[in-house]
Amino acid sequence: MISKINNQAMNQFLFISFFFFTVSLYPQVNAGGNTVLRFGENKNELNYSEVLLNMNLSNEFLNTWFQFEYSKPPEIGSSINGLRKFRVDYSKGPIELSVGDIYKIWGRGLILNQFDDQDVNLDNGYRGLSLGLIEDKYAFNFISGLSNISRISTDYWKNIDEDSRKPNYFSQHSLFGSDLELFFGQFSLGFSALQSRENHPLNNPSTTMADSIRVIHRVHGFRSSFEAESITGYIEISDKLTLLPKSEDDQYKNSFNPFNGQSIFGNVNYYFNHFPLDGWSLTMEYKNYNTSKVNPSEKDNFVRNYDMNLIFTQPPTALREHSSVFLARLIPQVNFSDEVGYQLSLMGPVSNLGYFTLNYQTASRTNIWEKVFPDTVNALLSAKWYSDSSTTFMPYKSNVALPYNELYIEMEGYIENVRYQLGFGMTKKIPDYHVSYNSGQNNIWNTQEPFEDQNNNGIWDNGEEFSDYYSIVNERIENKYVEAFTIPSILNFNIGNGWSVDLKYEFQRLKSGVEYLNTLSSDEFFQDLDGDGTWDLAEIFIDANSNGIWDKAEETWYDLWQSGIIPDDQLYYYDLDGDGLFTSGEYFTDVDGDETWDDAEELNDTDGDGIWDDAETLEDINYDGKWTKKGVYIDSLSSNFYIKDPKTNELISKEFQNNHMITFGVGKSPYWSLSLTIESSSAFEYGPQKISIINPLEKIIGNVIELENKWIALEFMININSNTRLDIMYGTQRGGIICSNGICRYVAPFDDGFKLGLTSVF
Amino acid sequence: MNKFKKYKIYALIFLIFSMISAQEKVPNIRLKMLNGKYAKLYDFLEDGPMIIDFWATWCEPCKKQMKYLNIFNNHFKKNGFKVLAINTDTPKSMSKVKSYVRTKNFEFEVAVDPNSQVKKKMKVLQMPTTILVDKTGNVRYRHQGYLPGDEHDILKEIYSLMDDLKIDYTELDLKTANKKKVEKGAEVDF
Repeated sequence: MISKINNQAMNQFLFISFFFFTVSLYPQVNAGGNTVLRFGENKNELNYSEVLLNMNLSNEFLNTWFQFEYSKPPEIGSSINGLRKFRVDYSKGPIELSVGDIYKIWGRGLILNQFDDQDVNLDNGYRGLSLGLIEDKYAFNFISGLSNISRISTDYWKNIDEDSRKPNYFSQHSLFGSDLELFFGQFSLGFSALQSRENHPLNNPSTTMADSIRVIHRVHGFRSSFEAESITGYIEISDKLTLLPKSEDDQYKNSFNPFNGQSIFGNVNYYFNHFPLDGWSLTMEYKNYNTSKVNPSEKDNFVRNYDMNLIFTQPPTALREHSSVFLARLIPQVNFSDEVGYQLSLMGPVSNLGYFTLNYQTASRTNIWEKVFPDTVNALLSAKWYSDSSTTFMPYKSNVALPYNELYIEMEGYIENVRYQLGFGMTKKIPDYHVSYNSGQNNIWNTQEPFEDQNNNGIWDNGEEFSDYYSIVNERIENKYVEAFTIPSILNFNIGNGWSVDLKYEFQRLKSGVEYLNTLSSDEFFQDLDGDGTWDLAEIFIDANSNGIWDKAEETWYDLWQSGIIPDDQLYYYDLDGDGLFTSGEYFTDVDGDETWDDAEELNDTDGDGIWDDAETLEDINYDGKWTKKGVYIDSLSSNFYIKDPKTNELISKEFQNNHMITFGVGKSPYWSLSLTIESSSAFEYGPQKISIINPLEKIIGNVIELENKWIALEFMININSNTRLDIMYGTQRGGIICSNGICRYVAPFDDGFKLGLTSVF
Repeated sequence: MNKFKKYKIYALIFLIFSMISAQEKVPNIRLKMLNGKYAKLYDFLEDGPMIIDFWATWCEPCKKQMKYLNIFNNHFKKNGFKVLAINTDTPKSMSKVKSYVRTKNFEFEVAVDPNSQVKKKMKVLQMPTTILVDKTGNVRYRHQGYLPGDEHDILKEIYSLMDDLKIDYTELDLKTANKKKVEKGAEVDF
C-alpha cells in the first residue's frame, strides 16, 4: 500500500518535473493551464471540496495535457488525489496521433461518443492510442485502448451509496475500432466499426452475490450528409450485436438473451427564402434507437440487461436543451438503446419584434409491453413481460411505452435597450410504469386442482379436500405521470456605462403523481351465508330477529324482551339491576363462553382477533374494503403533493403544485454581478421533509415574505481579472433532477450553506 | 511521502510563476467545421488577428454576445480580422446549430466541438469564453462570461491589437451599428 502511494507520488512528481524542465529549456514551448476550485458546505451534509488543475504544454506539433484532481469528497463521484488524466497529441501534416486519455466522437455518436461530464459523473473516455489521417478528401481514425467506467446503480447490490453520490458499479472495456469519412463536394459518407470486450459486473442469478461476466459488443454503421443552399440533411444508421464468449458460464447464457438491433438518426434543416417565411428555418430530427428490449420495470437496469451497456453509444437525444430551470427539470432520461421519437423546430424573425420559436418533441419506447400469464392456475408465479415484435417508426401514446411530449413556444428580441424573452411550454410524460399482483384462494374446486379422492370415484365430491391454488389475481398497474405548463420570462435592462439589471420570472403549474388501474381476473370470493348471491356487510352474523340487518347484541335479553319472547314477569331474571335497560354483564347468549357479553355475540370470529369485523371472510384481494366483481374497476389518481391544514396539521392532498422562481440581478461590466433568487412552491411533496434552518439571509427576506416552502439564494460573481473569476453562493437551493447528455441524476437540496467556485486560466 | 509533497508544491509554484510570465499561445489544433470538413486553427490566422469564441445554443449570455461578435467580424474583415465561433453543443443540439447560425445571418466562421476536446486544449472553463489572438497565435486578451457592456472592453482590446500590429482601421460606433441591426429586424439578437 505504502509503495503504491510512493509510486503515485513519484509519478506526479515526475510529471511536474517534466513540465517544469520543458518550459525552462524550450522557450518555443507554450505552457499554460487552468484551475477550478469548487467548495460547498451546507446543513444537509451535501458537502464537497474539489480542486482541478489542468496543465497544457504545446509546441508546433505536440500538445500535452495533464489533469490533477484533489477532492474529498467531490460533489459526485469517487475521491481522487493525484493525476486524473493525461494525454499527448502529435499533429503534423495529415497525421494525428494521441496517446493517453482520449475522447472521440464519430458522426453524431451512434457508434462512438466519448465525453467527461462531471455533472452526471459519466466519463466514457479510454486510455490508449488514437491514430488519425486527415486529408481534404477523407479522414481516417483508428482507436484502441482500455476504458474504466464508473456508474451509480441501485440494481447492482454491492456498495450502494445512500446519497447516490459515490459510484458503486465499475465495468472495464477493451476497445478497438476505426472510422473512415469521405468527402465528395456537398456530400460526405462515413463508415465506422467498434468492438468492446467488457468485463461486466452483475448479480449472480442463483446466489444473488456480486459476480461478473465477459461480454462482447460489436457495432458498425454508416452515415451520410449533404449540404445545399436551402436544405441540409444527415442520416446515420448503426447495427449492434451483443454476445457472450463461448467459454462463459451456461447459467448466464440461459438466464438472459441479449437483443441485437439497429439505431437510426436523421436530421433535415430547411431554410425558407420566400415571403412570408423569408429567413425562417425548419429543423427536423428523427431517432429510432432499437438495440435492446427492456420491459418497463427494468428500463434502467443495465446490470442485468447487459446488452444495453455499450456506454460509448451516446447518440443525439433529439430533445431541446432548455435554459429555463423549470423546463430543464422535466427533460426525461433518454434510453439510448430503446427509444423512438422526433423533434420539429420552426424558428424565424417576426418583423422587427424579435424571433419566434416553436418546438415540438415527442418520444417513447420502441415496443408495447404486456404482462401475461402462461399458466392460468399458478398465474402469480408465472407472470412475465412480453412485447410485440413489430417495428415502429413513430412514438407510441400508450402509457406502457413511457411516452413523453413537449410543446414549447418562445418569442424574444429587443425593445430599445431592453431584451425580452417570453416562453410557454406544455409537457406531458409517463416516467415509470409498474405492474404488481395480489392473489387469493377462491375455495372452489377447479378441474386443474388436485384433490384427495376419498371414495375413489375419480371425481371430486363435495367435502373432499383439494389444493386450492391462488387463482384469483388482482393486476394493479401503477404509472407515474407528470403534466405541466411552464412560463419562463426574462427582461434584461442595459442601462449604460456597463450597468445592467436582469429580471427573471418563471411560473410552473405541475401535476404529478401515480395513476392506478386495477383488474380482477375473477370475482372476489365470499361466504354467502344468507345465500342471496350477493355479498353483504357482516355476512356471517346470525340474524336473530330476521330484520335483515345486523343489530348490536342481537341475541341479548333486551332484544328478546322487546320482541315479547321474554315476558315482563321473567324480566328480573335478565334485567339484573332492574333498570329496564340492558347493562353489560346482564344475561346474554354467551356463544363464545367467555362469560362476558360481547357485541354481536353470534360472531363467527374467523380471524380470531376477538372482535367483529365487517365482512369477516371476504377475500379482499384488491384491498379496497368491499367485494368486487371481475373486471377493471378502479381508475384513481394519487397526487405527489399536499398542504398542511394550519388548524389540525392534517395533510391535505393537492392535485397541483404551483412553482415560482424570481431572480433579480444587477451587474457592472466587466467587474461583478449580484443576483438574488427566490423559488417558492405552493405545496409540499410527499416524502421525508428536512427541517430547514432559517439563515441570516432568510431572516431578512422573512420580514417581507412568508418563508415556508421557499428556497432563497444570493449569488455574487466577481471577475478578479480577465482570467480569474470568483463565484460565491449563499443560501438554499431546491433539489431536483438535473439532466446532461440525456442522462439524469437527482441532486439533493442544498440547505443553508455556501458554494464557492474559483476558475483561473494561466 | 511528505518529501514528495513538498517537492510537488515547490514545483507547482515555480511552474505557475514561470507560466504567468510566459506569453500564452493557442495551439494549432485541428477543428471540425460546421459543414463537416476539417481545418487547422492557424489557417484562419493567415489574414490577420482573430477572436475565438466558445458558445452553445443553450447559453443565453453567449447568444447575447454573439451579435456584437458578428458586428466586429463584419466591420473589421476588410482589415484581415475575423471571428471564429466554436460551438460546444453536444450531438443532441448539433442539428440546431446550423439553423441558428443561418437564421441569425451570422457571417463568421463556425466550428463544432461536440465533446469539448478543443475547449480543453484552449483551457476554456466557462461559457462564453472570448480569446483574442494575434496573427502568430499569441493570446492578447481572454475573457470569461458575458455581462452587457463587455463588448466595449472587447472592442478596446481589438483596437489595441490593431494599433500594435499597425493595421489601419476605421473605428466602430457600436451604438449606431447595434441600432442599425435592430432596425433591420432580421439581425435582432436574442
